[in-house]
Amino acid sequence: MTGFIRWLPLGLAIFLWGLSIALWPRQAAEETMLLAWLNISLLIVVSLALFNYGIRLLRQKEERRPGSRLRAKLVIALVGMLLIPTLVIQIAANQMVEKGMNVWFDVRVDTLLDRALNLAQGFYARIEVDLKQGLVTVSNDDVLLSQIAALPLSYNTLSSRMFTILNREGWQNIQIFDLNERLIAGAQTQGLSSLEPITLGESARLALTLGHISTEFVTRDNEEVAVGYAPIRLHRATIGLLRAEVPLPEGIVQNARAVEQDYRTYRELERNRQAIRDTFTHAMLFIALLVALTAGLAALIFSRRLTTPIGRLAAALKQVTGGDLNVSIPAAPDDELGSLVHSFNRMAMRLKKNMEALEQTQHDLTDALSSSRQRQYVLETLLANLQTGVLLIDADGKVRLLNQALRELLKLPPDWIPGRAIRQLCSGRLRHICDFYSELEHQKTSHLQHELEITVGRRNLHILARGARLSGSGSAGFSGYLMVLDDVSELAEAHRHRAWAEVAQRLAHEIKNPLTPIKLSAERLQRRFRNQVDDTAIFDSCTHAVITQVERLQRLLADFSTLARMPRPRMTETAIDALLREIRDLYNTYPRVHVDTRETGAICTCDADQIRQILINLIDNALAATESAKGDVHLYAASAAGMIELHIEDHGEGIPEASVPQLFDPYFSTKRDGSGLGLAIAKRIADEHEGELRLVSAANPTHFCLRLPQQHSSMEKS
Amino acid sequence: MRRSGIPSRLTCQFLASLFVCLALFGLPVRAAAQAAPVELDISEEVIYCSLAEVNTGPVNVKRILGEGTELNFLWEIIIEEEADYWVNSEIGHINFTRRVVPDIVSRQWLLEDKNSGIARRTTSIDNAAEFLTSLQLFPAIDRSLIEPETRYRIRIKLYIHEGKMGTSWWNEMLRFGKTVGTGTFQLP
Repeated sequence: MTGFIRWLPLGLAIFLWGLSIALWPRQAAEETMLLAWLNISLLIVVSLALFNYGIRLLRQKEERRPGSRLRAKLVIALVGMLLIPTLVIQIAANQMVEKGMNVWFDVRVDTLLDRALNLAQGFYARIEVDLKQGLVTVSNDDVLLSQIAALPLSYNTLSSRMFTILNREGWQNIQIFDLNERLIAGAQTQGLSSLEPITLGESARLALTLGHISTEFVTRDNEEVAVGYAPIRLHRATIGLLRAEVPLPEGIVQNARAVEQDYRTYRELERNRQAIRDTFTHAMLFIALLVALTAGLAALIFSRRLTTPIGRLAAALKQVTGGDLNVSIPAAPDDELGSLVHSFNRMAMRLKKNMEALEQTQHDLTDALSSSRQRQYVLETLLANLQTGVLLIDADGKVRLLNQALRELLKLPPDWIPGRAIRQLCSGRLRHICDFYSELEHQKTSHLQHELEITVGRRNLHILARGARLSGSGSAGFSGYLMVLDDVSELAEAHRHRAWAEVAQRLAHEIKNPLTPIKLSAERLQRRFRNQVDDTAIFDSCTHAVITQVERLQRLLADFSTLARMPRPRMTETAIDALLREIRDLYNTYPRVHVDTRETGAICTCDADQIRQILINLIDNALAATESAKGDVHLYAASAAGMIELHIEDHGEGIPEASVPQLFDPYFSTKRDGSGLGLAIAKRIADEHEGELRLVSAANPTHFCLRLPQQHSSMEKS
Repeated sequence: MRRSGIPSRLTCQFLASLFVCLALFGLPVRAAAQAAPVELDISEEVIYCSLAEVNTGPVNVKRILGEGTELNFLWEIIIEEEADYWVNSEIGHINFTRRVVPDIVSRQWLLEDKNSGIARRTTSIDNAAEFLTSLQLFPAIDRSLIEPETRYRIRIKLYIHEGKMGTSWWNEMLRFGKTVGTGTFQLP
């Protein structure tokens, strides 16, 4: 159907083109030319319009405006409804006219009119013949001739004779003219009231010139007469002209003329039969075209008014389907369509509001989800980067979450994964965690804190465990236990060290006080009573021992104080070359100490005094270790990758392998009278410089290396 | 975007207009093809024109006169100076009318030259037909208006009116004379 509608205008256009060619005006039909050209023009205009429309329909396959198909169907239906009966009527009317013409122009009518005309013509011919006969008789009338020839003319006699002839022949008028066309005599029946000068016409001149009798019929106002002209001859010479008038009977004349008129009209109609038919056809066609055009326009207007709201509705529905809810159809007529339009507008508005609400809700949900994901991400990142171990256990006792810091802190086995029961996992060295969990689970308060000792490898870690019971509410809430484990071993040790330092400081202070009087007393006794004792050797040995041990105690206390109250390094730009030169100068009297003072140009940000202290300590240890073998001690500097390295080597006794792990521990010494704090202090100084003091090799040679960074951006500069 | 196989509206309208113009153009071409040659007689003072045979087309003069219908022949003689690339300029234009009124009852025909007013009767239908259709040595133009060595064109148009003049004014308003004779001439 759709294809038919699309091709219909084009088909109609071609049909109308063909019709216009078929109806093209013929040369002969001049009477119907105007109407024919009007129809042709109308046909061409309509066909062009249809052609135009048809091409546009064919080219617009997918972009049809809403309602256009319905409109086309309405127009076709309305025009068809009017056009088909019109065409039927036209065909019927044409047939009727054809039949009527066949009846009107029947051969019998033809014959009848011919016969009537023949009768009329016969009458006139009879009159003419009679008139001619009369003229012949009168023109040969001897009496008349003699009277005409007599000179002078006797008008009375001539008139009398003419009247006699007039009455005898039944003429109305008789006149005699001379050769100069002058009236000589005349007689008439009408009287003087109809007397008028007569101009001889061509027929009269012909009769006069050629000597023939001629007749003619003359129509005057109220009558028709037959006029005859006959030459008057005397002795074979024409001497005059005889003119006679015969009135034609009025009634017969009227009938004859009526027959003539009817015959003429009939013949005209017969000649124009085809033209009449054509005129009728063209007129009917014109009316049909007008009807079709009018019907089409009316149908177009009506269908447009009807389909425009439907089209708008369809377009609006399409818009809504496409997702655009900002639609509102303009005002519609006050009928069912208008009601439909209003309902649609309300529906669209409700839809729009609902969509907006949904979108808002979606937006809120998205935001919430986004922030939730963000929080989750932050939480996961936080947990992943925390240095503190975090363990989350659900209400069923299963591990819900644990972070990497916990795994690394406690060196957890691989089976510690979310979903496992905590009681199954906590075995062996990790049982304290389970104990902590159990206590947290059963106690009344929601928070718990304990310190645990957990073995990790060969170390005993001091773990600070803190737990909290989580009581979530609602469907989104989480119930379980959160445990946070921190390695506070260093902190504990630092605390311990601090505590011991304080105790040691106080003890040292209490011990140091009596040492000086003891030493002074021993020295005084030695000076006072050395010469009074019996055995001076024993006396000297005893007092020397007292003094030496007191001094040793004093040194021990001094080192202890140094360890306890190590000042923060005061950083300065120190030239390593200058430092080495100072050390060389300091050990100038020790030939076994060799300091490499080649210019290195190295600068180091450090506390020069503390570094010097380290170097002195190391050199002193080396000298003590090489005392028996008289070995050399070498000190040299190097720099690499932003670090300054100070190397001390000696070829002395070496350090036993068993002592190496404890070399830098406080109070560990391989010397008989060492305090065991020197290397500890040196290591601490190195640590506070963000450097490193390490034993490169224990023997052959015994090699210590102090590495210091060249720059310290975070430490205090003096 | 044009779709293949379907011409544009502009193309179709152009073709339709071309068709109409060709159809209309065919009329004068056809008319010109039916015109007879005009014979000219150039005297010292006047140029006369004659038309040996007049093609009255579908109008059967004798039949019409024999059936009692009045015939009017409206003649039009136009003399133009020919122009090569422009419209011809008219230098002479003559209109005259010949009329025959049949009286079929009395078998007579009244012959009348309406311009001069001369009328005569004849009982011969051939005479009446010849009176209407013949054009012999009709004075077309004064020679003094003609320039030598200039080309001129003469056209003779004829409009045939059946019946009395003045009864169908719409036909008379829309009458288009048919060219029945053409010719050219040039004075030495």
